[in-house]
Amino acid sequence: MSPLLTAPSRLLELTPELLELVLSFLNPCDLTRFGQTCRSANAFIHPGNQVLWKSAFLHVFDNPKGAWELLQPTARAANRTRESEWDWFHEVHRRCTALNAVCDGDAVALSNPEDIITTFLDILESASYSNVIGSKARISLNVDFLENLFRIAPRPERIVHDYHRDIDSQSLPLEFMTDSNRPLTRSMLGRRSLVPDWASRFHIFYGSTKREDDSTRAKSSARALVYDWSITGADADYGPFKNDKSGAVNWQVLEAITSLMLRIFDTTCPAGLQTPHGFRHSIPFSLPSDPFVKDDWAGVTGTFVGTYAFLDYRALVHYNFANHLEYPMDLGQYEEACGDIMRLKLKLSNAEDLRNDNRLQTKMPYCADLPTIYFTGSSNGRPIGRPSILVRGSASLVPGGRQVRWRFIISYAGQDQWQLEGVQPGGIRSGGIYGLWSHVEHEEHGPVGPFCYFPYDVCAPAQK
Amino acid sequence: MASSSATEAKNFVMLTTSDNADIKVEREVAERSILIKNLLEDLGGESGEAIPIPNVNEAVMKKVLEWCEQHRKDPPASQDDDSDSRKKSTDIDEWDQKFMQVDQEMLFEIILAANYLDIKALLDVGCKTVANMIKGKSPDEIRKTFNIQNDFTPEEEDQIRRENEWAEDR
Repeated sequence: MSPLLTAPSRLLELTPELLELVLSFLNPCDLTRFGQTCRSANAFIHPGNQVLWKSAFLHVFDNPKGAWELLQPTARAANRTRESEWDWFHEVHRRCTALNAVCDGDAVALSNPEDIITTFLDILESASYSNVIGSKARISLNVDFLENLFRIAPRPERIVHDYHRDIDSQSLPLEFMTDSNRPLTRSMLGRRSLVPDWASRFHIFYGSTKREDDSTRAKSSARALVYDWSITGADADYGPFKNDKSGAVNWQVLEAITSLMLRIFDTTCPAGLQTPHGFRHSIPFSLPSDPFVKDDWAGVTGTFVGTYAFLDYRALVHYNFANHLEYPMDLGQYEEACGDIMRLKLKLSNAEDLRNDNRLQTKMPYCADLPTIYFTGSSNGRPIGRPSILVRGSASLVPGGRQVRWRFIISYAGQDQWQLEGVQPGGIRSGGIYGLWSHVEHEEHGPVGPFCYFPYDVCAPAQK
Repeated sequence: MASSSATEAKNFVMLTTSDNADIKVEREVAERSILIKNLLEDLGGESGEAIPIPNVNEAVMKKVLEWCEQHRKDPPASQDDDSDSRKKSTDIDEWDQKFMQVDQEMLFEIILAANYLDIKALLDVGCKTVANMIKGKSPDEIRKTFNIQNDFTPEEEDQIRRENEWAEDR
């Protein structure tokens, strides 16, 4: 057909403003298909057309502004460069490319998975909930995107565990293996410092996997971190922090704790409760604040459900003394015992004796964007008739202003007994708190173990 | 109560289309168009004179006024800053869908008229209708629908297809 005999396309004759309006209703797939029709269409959807790519981005993802505006000042300041360099085309391209790599099982892309995983972490970090128009439901497109991705991807757990190479790892989520052809030896269990933070963080946010559930080695390497006195001592405030007085989160230890505790909580939690984990519990401000409790930014007031676990004390001692030999002891078979399900009832308190309480002081830095808040309460994990358990503690922001740090002091029989040091990795009013318990006196060679607490509301199946 | 002929006359306006047709329409209906509303305000409520609408012909104007009549009681478009900060829905209500079942020529005329007359809601419905005609189609189907000439060489076409594979739905 000669062009002269053909009527011109009404669509392409629209002014740029009107064509842009039409195309703003399209998602990236439909937009790029339009761009493939002819040269002028292709030129129109050029990556530099930020207005167009912004609307395409928003068809699939939350506007990152929503998450950014919820950041505390320190975290927001650290995010400024990212905000000023933000490019809508680049972001949607990068996110879709990561999705494709995982869904196609693309061996080349997966062999260098840092780009992919950090992209997913970015999606999570820029996620926010917004109200669905005309309903009370709140949704996050980013959470939907990630959940859907891992639902449709073949063998999705490999992206959590095999971040270091492109073939199936027989081992564990916690070990970085430099030489993929060598079989795992017990001596390699001691080499644990090479796991990158992004891999540990992603595993924490993803939640538990079937693979680690079934793997003795995964448990072995998780225990190797959790029960190592040298990693979690005074300079880490006996919690999942870096052992350097920085107050920064030790993501590898936190990963090990979540790996153990999600499984343990799942097997002990009573009928009617569920173990909250996964992306939707890793987003700040997913829980509402109680409008009647002023200053409770962390969502302290309310009920928390959780438990703790402990290793046979002889095994703990044996492990720590054997730890620095060439063949460290393998804790894979040493299943820990777990305590009862504890229910904490907490309320905010501004009492002076709490603020001056020595046990609630820390020398470690914290982020002062929000004030440290204090609370008191009780724990009813014990059978009726036993002495009541009192709880007091504090919540503050980890340096950087993204995660929340929790300390609980548990006392009974008139004495302070246990100190629980935890981190809420998802951020303010998100999901679970994971950490380590130890005796408040911290005598040498004392018992230590992991614990978890969840806001009751995220454990209770959706009512209404 | 206000049913005197004087008041009634005041509630109508006359529009003259590009093909010189005069259309009498209720003022409330006509004022769905911000352009007409502003013109009437500028005229200070002086009645009688027909308002020229030089960019819209009678057939299209009647169609547009049909929409305005249906939507005369709609609340004015809320000026939320959020509108381009969130996902744009292509949902169209049932009446509007039926209303938009017109040939492509008329569809684009409605879009141009809505744009000229400054009727934001109608412009959106028109653009959504076009967007829905693009959705889910292959490039070739889009070309056929909108009479777009493929001016790529086969090599270019192949390369552009590969460049855009990242965006394909799964």
